[in-house]
Amino acid sequence: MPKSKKDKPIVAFNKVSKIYDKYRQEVVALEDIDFSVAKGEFVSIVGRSGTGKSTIIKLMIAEEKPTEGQVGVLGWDLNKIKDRQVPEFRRQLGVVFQDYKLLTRKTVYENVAYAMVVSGQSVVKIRKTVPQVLDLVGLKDKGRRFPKELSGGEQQRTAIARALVHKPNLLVADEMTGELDALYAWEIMEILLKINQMGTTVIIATHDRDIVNKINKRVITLEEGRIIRDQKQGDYLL
Amino acid sequence: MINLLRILKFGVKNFFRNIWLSTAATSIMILTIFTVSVLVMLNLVGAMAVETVKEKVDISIYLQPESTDNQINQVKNKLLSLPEVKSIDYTSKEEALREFQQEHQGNDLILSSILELDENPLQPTLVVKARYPEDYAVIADTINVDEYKSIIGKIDFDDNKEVINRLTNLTQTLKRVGVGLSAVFGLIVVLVVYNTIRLTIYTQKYEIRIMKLVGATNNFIRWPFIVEGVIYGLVGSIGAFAIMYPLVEYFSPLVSNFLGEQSIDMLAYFNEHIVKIFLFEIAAGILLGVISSLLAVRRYVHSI
Repeated sequence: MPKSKKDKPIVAFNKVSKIYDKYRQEVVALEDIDFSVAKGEFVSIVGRSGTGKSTIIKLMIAEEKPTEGQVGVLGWDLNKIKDRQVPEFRRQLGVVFQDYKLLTRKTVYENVAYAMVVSGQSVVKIRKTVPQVLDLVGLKDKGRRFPKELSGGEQQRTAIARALVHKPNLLVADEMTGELDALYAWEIMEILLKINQMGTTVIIATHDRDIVNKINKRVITLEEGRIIRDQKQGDYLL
Repeated sequence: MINLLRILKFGVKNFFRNIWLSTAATSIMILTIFTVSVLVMLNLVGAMAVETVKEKVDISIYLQPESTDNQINQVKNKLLSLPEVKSIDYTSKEEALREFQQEHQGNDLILSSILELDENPLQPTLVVKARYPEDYAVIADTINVDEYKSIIGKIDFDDNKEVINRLTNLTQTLKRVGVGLSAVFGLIVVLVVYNTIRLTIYTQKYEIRIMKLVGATNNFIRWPFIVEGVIYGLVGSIGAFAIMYPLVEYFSPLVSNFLGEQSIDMLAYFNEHIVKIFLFEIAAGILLGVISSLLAVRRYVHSI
């Protein structure tokens, strides 16, 4: 029986390989990657440094194209997506990075609003949405602060708030707790779990063993560019 | 509409973000547009001078005093049949005498001398104007033949051809130099603005990257830089115009004095065409700014 549209995965990697050409030498980053993520899932992609976690994230946000295989995200065929379609696609997902990627000369409020400003949202909508997402990440009272006046955890929460302003169906995070100590890292994970409970699919790439083991969600383990384990409710076993 | 206003705001911010670089780029833009405008004005002055001199050139054909109306008409008709002839002005012996008397009013010696003569010694004259300066020689040659020798006393071909040729050559050289200089300055301004915008793009690399990640459209990312280029052009052309006007005001009487008889009122011309000149400068500035920014944006924004 064919799957209904409702059952269609949010993310689907079908025999995906990615080979970089560095100084005329081929470097295989990913090989034969095959997995899918259903709506509402929370998935951790784990592995040591250089195993291809970030490459998977880059393929997922249309920063790179696969050398072989098919990548589908939120109904978009990322093998065929055109440059002019990428902004529209990116507005349907949220992305968070290890280095926060905040604008230092803008306040927390302005950083979060920025995503809406550059995508042409109205001032009324911005004024309504930004306080809501700041409240969601626990930064309601820090809207006027500048990033340098915040802790690492708060800066990362600002980045999460910015990723959420478009109300995405999918939130993708690359090593988002990498620069945080354990306490702040767990605070961030709690926010992600809350967002996931509200219905947003969350995919994180991390090598933080404690966090992955504590949340007890699906774990995809990579080694040398290949998936070596995919556990429904698993641990970081490396 | 919201996007347009935000793009304009981002563009203005870009202009002020690196104010020293923007000042340098704007100065070069002012210099370029000013140079082009000066060259255009010089060409114009040259062309006007040539036209004025051309207007003053003619051939005076002095006919024998005893020529009959028939003979005079014969010469006249011959001249009128030439395509080179623009107009013919005939002055009879009587008219020539009246003009002579008017010219020498107050000089009793000359006036009484001419009255003492039995008959009017002045000759009837045909003053011929050609369409082009080079036509005068053709006209002179056509009537300087045996057939008319008995009718024509003297052909006075005031040879301004040399002057006209010199002026025409000067104007053409000026035009060539002008086009060359304008092209060189245009290239310099494109390079300077291109590099300024490239630097702006580099200093905003991080912000552009964030814009791309949060879903800003390519146009939203690119257009502020094009707006920045337009601002360089706009400020540059207004600056050039602001320098140009007082200079024309200052030099206009000097040019008129220098050209003497062929008086050319540069200021009057400037005032008469002020809107056209201003719009030309604005259009040239914007065009240069847009070309430079488009080149920089196409080359660098995509790679971030």
